Amino acid sequence: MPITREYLVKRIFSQIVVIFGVVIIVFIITRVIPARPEFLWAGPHPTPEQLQKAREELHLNENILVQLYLYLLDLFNGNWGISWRTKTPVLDDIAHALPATLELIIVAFTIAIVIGIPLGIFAALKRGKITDNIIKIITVIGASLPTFWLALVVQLIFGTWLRVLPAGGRVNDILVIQTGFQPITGFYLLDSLIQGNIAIFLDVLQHIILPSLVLSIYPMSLSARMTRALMVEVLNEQYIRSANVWGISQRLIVYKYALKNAIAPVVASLGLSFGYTIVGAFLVELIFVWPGIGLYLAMSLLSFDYPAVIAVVIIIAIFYTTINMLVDILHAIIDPRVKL
Amino acid sequence: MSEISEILKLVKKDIISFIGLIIVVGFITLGIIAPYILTRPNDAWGNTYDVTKAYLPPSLSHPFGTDEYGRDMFNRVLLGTRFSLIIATGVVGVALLIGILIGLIAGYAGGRIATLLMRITDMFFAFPPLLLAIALAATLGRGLINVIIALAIAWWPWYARLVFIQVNSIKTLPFIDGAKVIGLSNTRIMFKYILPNSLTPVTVQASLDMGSAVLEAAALSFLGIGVPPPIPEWGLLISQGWQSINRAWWISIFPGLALVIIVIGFNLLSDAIREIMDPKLKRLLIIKGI
Amino acid sequence: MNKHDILLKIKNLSIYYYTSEGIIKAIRNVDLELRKGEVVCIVGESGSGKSTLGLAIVRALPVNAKIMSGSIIFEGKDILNLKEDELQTYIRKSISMVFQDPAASLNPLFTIGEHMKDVIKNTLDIIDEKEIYEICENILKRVGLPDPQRVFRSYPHELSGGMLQRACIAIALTSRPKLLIADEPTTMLDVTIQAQILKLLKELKREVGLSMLFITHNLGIASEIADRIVIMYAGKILEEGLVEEIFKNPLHPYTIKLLETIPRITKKMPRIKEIPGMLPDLRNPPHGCPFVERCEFAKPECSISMPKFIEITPTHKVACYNYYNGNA
Repeated sequence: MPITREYLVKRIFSQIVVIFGVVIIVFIITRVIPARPEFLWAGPHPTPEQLQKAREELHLNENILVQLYLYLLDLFNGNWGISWRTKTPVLDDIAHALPATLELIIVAFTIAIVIGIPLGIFAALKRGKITDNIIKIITVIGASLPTFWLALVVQLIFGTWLRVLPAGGRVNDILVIQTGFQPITGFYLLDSLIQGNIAIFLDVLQHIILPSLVLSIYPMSLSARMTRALMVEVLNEQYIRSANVWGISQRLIVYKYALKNAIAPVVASLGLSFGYTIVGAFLVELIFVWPGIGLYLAMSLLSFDYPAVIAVVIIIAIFYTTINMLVDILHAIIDPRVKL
Repeated sequence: MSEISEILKLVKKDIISFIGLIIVVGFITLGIIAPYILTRPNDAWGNTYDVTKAYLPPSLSHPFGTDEYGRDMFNRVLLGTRFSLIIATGVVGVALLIGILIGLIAGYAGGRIATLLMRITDMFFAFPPLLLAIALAATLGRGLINVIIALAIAWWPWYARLVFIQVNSIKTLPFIDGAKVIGLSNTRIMFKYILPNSLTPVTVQASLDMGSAVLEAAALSFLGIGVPPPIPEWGLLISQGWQSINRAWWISIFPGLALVIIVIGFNLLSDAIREIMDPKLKRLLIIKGI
Repeated sequence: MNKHDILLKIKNLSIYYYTSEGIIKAIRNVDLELRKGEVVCIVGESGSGKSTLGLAIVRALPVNAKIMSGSIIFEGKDILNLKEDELQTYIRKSISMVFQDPAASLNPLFTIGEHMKDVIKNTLDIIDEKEIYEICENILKRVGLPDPQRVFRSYPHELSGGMLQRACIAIALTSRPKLLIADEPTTMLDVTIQAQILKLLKELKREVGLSMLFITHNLGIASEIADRIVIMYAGKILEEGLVEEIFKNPLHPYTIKLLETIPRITKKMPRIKEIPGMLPDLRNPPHGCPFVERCEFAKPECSISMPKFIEITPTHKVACYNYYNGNA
């Protein structure tokens, strides 16, 4: 269904408004709520000079609106603060770490969709029978497992006890030096294939399997449950009954017609689970020492590196709303009835 | 009220939902009586430090083993139930309060006020679920109350939206017009007439959110921005066990299992209630045995 | 098969619905015959079981419906016991159906053309895209749609009610069925559109020799299109006859009442007549004639057992004790 330019413009515009709102909320959280913001920004155990410097940098002596204006100006100019832990600008740190997280999330989501949706369809077709009930139980458990705990368990069993897979990290540094691997896009799986570096590719694959599997459990369970519920609902609809009577083949009815009707809400719910997956990624990165935004955030939290924490929060919020916007647009493409 | 008893009746019929119900009821009960049934209260509250008993694996005297301070993990996990319950009710309670109020006012007032309030609500939705709580918790610092505040502030928009939709559809019903014609004040109409009728989806959602609240609080504690030690909150216990996980796996595993069971319970219950409340499905219910 | 061969033969069919509120005995011991080229109208109120009958023939009953007894024979084949693949290859090509709500019958995410193409692919074994498109265009034209190409490309929400129903008829006819079941196809349409659809169906009957089972609650509509009329009430057939016979000589008290409820502009009527009383509870249907509680002419035997059919003419029969010894 053709998307009108009008719709895209409207959507992107509201996106910008939302991002603006995010930034404002963050401002309120970081400057307005705390009684003495300079303590948060100066790092733990600050000296009086550091506090004074922080006060100046935050322009705390100025009127609140001036503070807001200067804050926005800083953000716009890319001046998001210095992480006092790494001593480098926060934005640089984030740019470095982002691709690693994206790679992890993409792989996890792919696993979730590739396994979850067919599982849901299968359960819907075998509704009421034992297979359906088994799948139901598995997905409920899967949706209830705390990601960080699961990560610990998996790492313990496969990484430490059984030693079949690496317990952490993203790539074997020695191998990188040996084979002269150079990251191009930041997505190591892609980069290694581009360079024909199969050794690194396999190595990264080994490293990414455990964390991405753990991360995929929640969205996989959710998409299986949603797919099943929606397929069952759709298969009971009148238009499926009539398609059946008119003579459309069973296979087409399930995999072309019903699936398309069910997929739109499933896509929407995936967008929702995406939010949980992002947070889950943080915890998984922390435990598997995966060098992404999550690890960066966790380390910043543990060392009270406030500027870094806030910068990550803003970036993730922007990223999240952008993904939601894309999901909405995808939804509109699939369902021609969506009002544009 | 009769709806609730009907729901309970139907839940009892299906074994899986019944298990969910039992878990939830068990959780609430344990949470209330936990402090009174501890066998080693000092261990649970974190008042002891006995290095000779550190890192003992699970045994009869210590079913869940001991941690690095020699404290009995079983007691700690048990007491943790109490704190999880406090957090869950606190978060959901406060979020409900704020959310219902805002949703009610926005829904009833309509117009500019509604747009403004709903826009603010939408801005909160820009954040992935836990992220806002992380930012808030990082700002407020560790503490039981802070965790509740942080999660509640991150959570109220969901309820506000739910209530908003309900109020919107109720306020156009004829009996509201009737109330206005009689001359009842707006506040009276809002609270006495509209509010009671718009509570159903929200209360169902809220009671099921308690499981998620426990989970998210645990995540915050795991990251070090939740409750402070020595409170035996499950997330905190898991993170404490993480340091020594290679030689004492039990410290992290058992609190995690408790979490898993609680969340499973709430999920099962929520599935059951949702299926029951779906009127379409009700019509297709087949008598068992056919 | 010559013109007057029996296409569809239903014997002693009973269908029950199992619901959380009890077992609904929707159809009880129903017989029906339909000949090639005939249009048989089943007339009954909602709850009479007429829709269930239609769905049973195309084997599209909901999961909680159970066939308790009886058989449905189509062209000599026993439909009820066909296996899945035979169902697909035989029944789907030979019997088709049009439903009451055209909008609900179409998948909102697919165009009319997409529906038709997929029907053709499975029932007509034609693969050539061009040929498929031509067939679709012809059928769409045949059902009276003014702009067939546009309709082919349209989504259901882009078409009006009358056009939607025409499209549904088109899709139903794509597989070249021998029997078309129409379940209240005009009930949800405006009266003027109603007339058009009826006209279309009559033309199809005439030109293509389409046999039809037309289900309706409206005796007036039935008079327009039927060759034979079957009066159904609360899961049982009360009267059956040629359309002229039913209208000129209605026998069953229910039929008589039905005729009286047709508002006539010409006749002076003080108020619109209605039939007092309500449908019996089908979870516990009466042992005898289901109409007994609303019937002016009820006799003691009516409550005890269901009267057997009495043939007044070879084509006109009624199930009523009032006709057992001569006339009412």
